[in-house]
Amino acid sequence: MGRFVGQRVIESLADQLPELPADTGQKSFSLFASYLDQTGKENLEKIREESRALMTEKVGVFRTEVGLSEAVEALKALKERAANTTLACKSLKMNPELILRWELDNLLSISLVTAVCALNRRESRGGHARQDFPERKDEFNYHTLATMTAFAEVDLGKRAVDMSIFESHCEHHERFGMIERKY
Amino acid sequence: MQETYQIVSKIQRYDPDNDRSWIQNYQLETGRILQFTDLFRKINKELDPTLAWNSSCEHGQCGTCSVKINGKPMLACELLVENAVVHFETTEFLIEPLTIAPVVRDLIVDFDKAYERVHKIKPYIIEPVANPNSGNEYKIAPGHLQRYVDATRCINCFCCATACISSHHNFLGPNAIMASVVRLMDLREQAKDERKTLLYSEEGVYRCHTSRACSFVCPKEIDVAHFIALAKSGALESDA
Ligand code: SF4
Ligand code: SF4
Repeated sequence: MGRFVGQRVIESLADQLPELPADTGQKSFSLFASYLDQTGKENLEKIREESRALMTEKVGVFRTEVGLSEAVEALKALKERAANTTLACKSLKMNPELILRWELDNLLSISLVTAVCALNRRESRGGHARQDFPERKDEFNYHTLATMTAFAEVDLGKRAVDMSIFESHCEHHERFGMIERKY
Repeated sequence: MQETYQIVSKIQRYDPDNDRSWIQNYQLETGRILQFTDLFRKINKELDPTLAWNSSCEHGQCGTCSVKINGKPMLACELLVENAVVHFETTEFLIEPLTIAPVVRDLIVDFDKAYERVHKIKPYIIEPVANPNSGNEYKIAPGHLQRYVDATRCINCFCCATACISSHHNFLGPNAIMASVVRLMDLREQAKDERKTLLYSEEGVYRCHTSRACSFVCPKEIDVAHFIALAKSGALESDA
């Protein structure tokens, strides 16, 4: 799958392929080297379990400003603890523990971005139910685009919702308008 | 039924860095309906983070988690602790990697190597006939499809190949053979001669002893040996 996506990206970029930076791959290499070098008494599996429980409890379907803010702080603390784990196996050959360590970083990143986006969306919509903002609001009629360059440094952008079918006035177009979802 | 079990897993381990093999015992209390993949996960979590094993879908559709349990090749994700205790009449399990390819680490074998045999038979229509119908759909009569539809459920878990009593070195193996047989029976395939040349070669169907060990272990309940027997008797093309 990843390979096909990559091939399509190259195809669509055609002649606009940018030069690869000189240190390509270096970042990944030093990331993995740091995983192998790091030491500490924290337990990888325990941090993973705690992050799972935290996300279920505070960033599930029903969310509040307080809960989400607590989740953001707790995730930062978990990220710090993750840096204080020691891998029992230092091998580069099919090392499941090393993969788990990498996965944990990715999970924490995605969790943090999710919480920050949910915090920003002060309304309720679909599976995002803010108990402190139960109404759906038109000002949030957009897709959130999040960029995180360093952990917990999140920039939020917007992308418009594709309304082309509705606006085309084709047959049944009225069914593609934006309405509140009710049960 | 008991609520919990004391499970002893004796796992065949291999450390590629020091080229060292040993059997390691892990003792765990588990619930009744724990999959063996979750048992491995529990070992990672509670006893030993270095134990390496493989899985992907964990619902019997991808064939990544195959291991030998008390000698029988099976999908770890499909075996529940409770069923294993009943099936093997013990709470002690010897868990080993498949034998069809070199071991990379612990329970993980080199699947690229295992797949070489499947790729060799070209598991796709080599030379499709022109479609007599318009559109993308090629119509095959249900009666004809019935003859080989079972074989199309194969997930290449290599359980059959591991159980096979013929040699792993000079035999293409049951799943690879079956993958070619299916395409010989497929009305869309024209490259019949190319397929037959390999099927009836030195590494082809005549290496099979018709022991049916393959059919016995297949987690998708495919009668693998039946398809190999069809190839042996040449009963591939006639319509049922
Ligand atoms: S025939 Fe059955 S046992 Fe053999 S690879 Fe396919 S699914 Fe697995
Ligand atoms: S029937 Fe043939 S292919 Fe199947 S296990 Fe026996 S020898 Fe191997």
